[in-house]
Amino acid sequence: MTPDRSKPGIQQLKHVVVLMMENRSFDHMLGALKAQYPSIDGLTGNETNPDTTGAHASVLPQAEYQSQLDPDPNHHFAAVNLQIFGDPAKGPPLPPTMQGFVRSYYNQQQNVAHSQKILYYFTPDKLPVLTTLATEYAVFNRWFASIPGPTICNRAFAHYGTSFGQVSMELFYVGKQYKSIYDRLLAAKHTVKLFYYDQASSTMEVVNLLQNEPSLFGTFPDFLRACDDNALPDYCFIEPNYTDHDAPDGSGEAIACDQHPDHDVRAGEQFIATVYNKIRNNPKLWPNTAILIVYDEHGGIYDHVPPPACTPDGFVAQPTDTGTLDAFHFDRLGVRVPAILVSPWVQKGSVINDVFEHASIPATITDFLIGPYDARSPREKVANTFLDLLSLDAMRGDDDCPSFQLE
Amino acid sequence: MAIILVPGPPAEAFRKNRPISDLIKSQIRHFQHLEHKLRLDLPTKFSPHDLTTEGAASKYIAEMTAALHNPATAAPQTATPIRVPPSQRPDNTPALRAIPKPLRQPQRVDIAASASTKKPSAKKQVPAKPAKKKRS
Repeated sequence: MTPDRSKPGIQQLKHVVVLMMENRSFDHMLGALKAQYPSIDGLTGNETNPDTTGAHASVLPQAEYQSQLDPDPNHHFAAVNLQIFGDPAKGPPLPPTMQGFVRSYYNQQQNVAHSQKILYYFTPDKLPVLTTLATEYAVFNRWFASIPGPTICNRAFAHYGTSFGQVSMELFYVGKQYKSIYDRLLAAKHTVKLFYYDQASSTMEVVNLLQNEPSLFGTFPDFLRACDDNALPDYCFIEPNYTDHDAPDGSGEAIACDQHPDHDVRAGEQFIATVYNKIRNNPKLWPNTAILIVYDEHGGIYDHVPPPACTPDGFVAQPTDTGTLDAFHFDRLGVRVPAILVSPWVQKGSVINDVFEHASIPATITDFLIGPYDARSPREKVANTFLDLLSLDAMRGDDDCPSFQLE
Repeated sequence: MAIILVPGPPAEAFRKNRPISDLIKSQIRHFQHLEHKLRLDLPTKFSPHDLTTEGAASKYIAEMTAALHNPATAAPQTATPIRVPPSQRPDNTPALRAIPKPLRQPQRVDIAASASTKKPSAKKQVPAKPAKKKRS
């Protein structure tokens, strides 16, 4: 919904920061919160999936930080079809039962016991950052990946409001008809930056943005410095560290903090906390900055909410691209992912039930910073926006907003 | 509100010899596409077969990222022209044949991405064809 510009939180808003993590489903990360917060659409504990023996495996609160989801669960289009519809070759009109996750994971190792781990979820005490932010600010019950497929096409929706017809990682072509959110903002004289972790991790927006507009990019230390210098751009998009590697500057080991299986989830928790603390603890930024923490897609991990239909994108991916018997018209969303909006102007404990997807990101930023803008994908034009959640009449006090300390 | 402690990963969680995921394989493919398209000459000669671990892949990604930020560090590859030393013998060939052909210079390729006129092959998205009806 378009924000009420008379609200003080909107009037003061100067910066929006989007942090997009990797490959975890809503139920896997936040599903356990339902026990304490019934309005959060998580797990009852009774959800099951059939395994390949025909037995019903249950969701269990036994997710581990690392070494459990190895190999990386398949989340390409056909595998996600199996996870949602129970058939890798077909989608609708089959019903989206969400009963194929265990069978999909079984296909990778033919190990029944291992395949059941795709149903495991974290208890809140294991994810103090994500669960605290979800319950202290606004959590989205219905934020879905834009495509039932892998990372790069999903991330494209956050940058362009479309993937230009791609359902895979092979996004080598970006159509000219829709500009990236960055180009739109630059044309409107706004400041923007994509911050990747470091040059050794870099970006997933290689072929278009990094090639053609390298000046759009900075590193995570640049982001931290911009916060310290009160020089944060109007819009920031942060990418986590995608690999374990030696830091290019010789400063030591840089551990992956994207939470992509099989990277240690704790590193991602600390990364989210670092972004949050940097803004939270700066009195010149905290009142005028909103932070969206969102995951690009579910990574093949179980979620119980069937993805809904959506406005077609105007593109069609052929069966050769989907790996299924069907063409895909971009008319349904991917699996649900965690998404949290943080601001001292957000009502504590907000739970949002409207449907969002990654096209909501450029839709929100464009609406807020530019205003009416027609040259957008059909999906982005109808995507819900989220800044109306900065609705409080008075900013929450310091004592009412959590802080984190890294151990 | 109390400060919430956030545990970090143990030292053994760092595994730079972990095989790369499909995601990093794709990221490398994207960089390789640009390396070849822009004919970049990276400081290190990477063999694609060696980019199998996160640690190794990240070194290639770092050099490619630096090259895209600063094209001067990865000047385009140009063929070195082969120069034949002048013959010691006097040239007795007829004058007409002595007219030298213009030397064909190797074509320069600008590595600034915006200067590149060649577009990557676009996969044309077309509406789905209706399935052919089987003859009964």
